[in-house]
Amino acid sequence: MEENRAGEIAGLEKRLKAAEESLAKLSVAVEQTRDMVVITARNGNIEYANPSFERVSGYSKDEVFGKTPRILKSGKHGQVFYERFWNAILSGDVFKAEFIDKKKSDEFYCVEKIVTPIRDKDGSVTHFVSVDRDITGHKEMEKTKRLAGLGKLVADMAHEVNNPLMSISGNAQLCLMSVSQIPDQGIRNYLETIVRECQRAKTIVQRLLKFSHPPRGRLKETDINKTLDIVAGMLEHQFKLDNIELVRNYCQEEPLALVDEQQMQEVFINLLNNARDALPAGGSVEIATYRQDGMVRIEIKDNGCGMPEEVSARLFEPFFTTKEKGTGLGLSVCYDIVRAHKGKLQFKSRQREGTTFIILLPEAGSSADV
Amino acid sequence: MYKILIVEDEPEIAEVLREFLAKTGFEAFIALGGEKAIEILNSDAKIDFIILDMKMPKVSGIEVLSEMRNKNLNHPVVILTGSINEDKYVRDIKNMGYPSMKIVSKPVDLFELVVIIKNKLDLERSL
Ligand SMILES: Nc1ncnc2c1ncn2[C@@H]1O[C@H](COP(=O)(O)OP(=O)(O)OP(=O)(O)O)[C@@H](O)[C@H]1O
Ligand SMILES: [Mg+2]
Repeated sequence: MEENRAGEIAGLEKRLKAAEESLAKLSVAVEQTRDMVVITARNGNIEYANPSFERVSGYSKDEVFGKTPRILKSGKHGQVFYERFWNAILSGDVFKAEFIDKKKSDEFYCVEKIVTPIRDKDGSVTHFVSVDRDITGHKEMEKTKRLAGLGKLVADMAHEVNNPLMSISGNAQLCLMSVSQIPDQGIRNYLETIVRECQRAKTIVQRLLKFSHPPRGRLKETDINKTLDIVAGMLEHQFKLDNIELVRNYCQEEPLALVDEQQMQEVFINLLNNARDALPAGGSVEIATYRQDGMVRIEIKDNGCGMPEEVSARLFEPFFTTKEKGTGLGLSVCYDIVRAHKGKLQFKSRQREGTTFIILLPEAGSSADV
Repeated sequence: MYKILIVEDEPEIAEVLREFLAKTGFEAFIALGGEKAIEILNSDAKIDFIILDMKMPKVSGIEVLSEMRNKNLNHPVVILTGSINEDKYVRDIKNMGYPSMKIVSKPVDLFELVVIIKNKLDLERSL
């Protein structure tokens, strides 16, 4: 009898130990996995978040406990998307989708999310566990690969297209010369239009070439305030004519970054021109610089029309434009140039309030600039 | 009358250039490709100016330039490109020791091209 008891206790102890061990193993696994693991109550309140979540989102555990994952909402998905999500998990289904979320720093990140409802013995849902895999890097890679293939195609195409353009434009110019003596201005106008449109096509091809093959010029330590001043000086007159006030808010200490100055000027010109286009009735554009955390931060902020989600979602797509005479390549070029400088190009926009474009570049001499 | 050699592998383009130059008072003739250009340059044809396309299938514009360099031929040249690899050409041409060679990209404003040619020829004459 006694022996039996002792045997039972020993057996229980063994099972307890095994359970503890396996629990410890589980918790270490959840704590150390590269995937972000968040457990919420049925009402969405966060009860657990692992270190990977803290690392990627930028929020600490304590900051998110008791809050709901809504703090991560990027605004990149419509109402319908979230409704579908909640309907699925509340009815006990597993939900799997690519999500774009927002970090504490306002940066976006892209995850492959799987949310699984957790049930108690009676089968009712008490918690949700969400496992997110950060796939922001993959997305970038996909884009880089696509662009590399595109680069070659575009380079070949440029040659193939510019030759016939030369022929069309040349023949039109020959005609122009032949009709220079006749009084019919109409014909001359038609011919001039042909020549002008050929030039426009050439511009498109050149911009395409630039963005699919950003030329890697010499990087020089540059005072970004000065570069901005050069560009602002070039555009100021036109801005004044368009009733746009250009406000400069530079940081005191020189923001130095390693850049190809000509390329960086092109980025600023593109962004400022976009800001101007967003202010058809005039307004103000602020150019601000900051130094923060080893980065130079440049903001170009307009109080213009802003953009709806359909536009902001496709902003960096080549050829995407809402303008009659736009090429839709301005921002694609900017994106590529900034990325070639190991920097980041971001934006915030609100309809009827305005848009801010943010460029982050590694500060010269900081560890981020390699 | 100034004689201008047009080195260009595409006949449509070469012909437009030739006619336009003829109408503005030059005598222009065509070398359809780099190999033809080298042949002409090695003959004793009189040439005052060269318009040189860069990307040509067999013998490229750069090769024509280096042949000229080897033979000590110092004709004034304006380079024509299809805008592809423009930066690379600028570098190659500079490296060959022509720091200020004019490069124009297709499609070219022919009226402008004529001005460039006239200026270069005036400059040559005044030297
Ligand atoms: N500051 C801004 N405010 C509002 N909308 C903007 C702003 N910047 C860009 N956009 C939107 O993004 C689109 C794409 O911009 P992008 O610079 O790539 O091309 P584009 O300006 O249309 O053409 P291009 O640069 O050739 O003139 C624009 O057509 C516009 O709808
Ligand atoms: Mg633009």
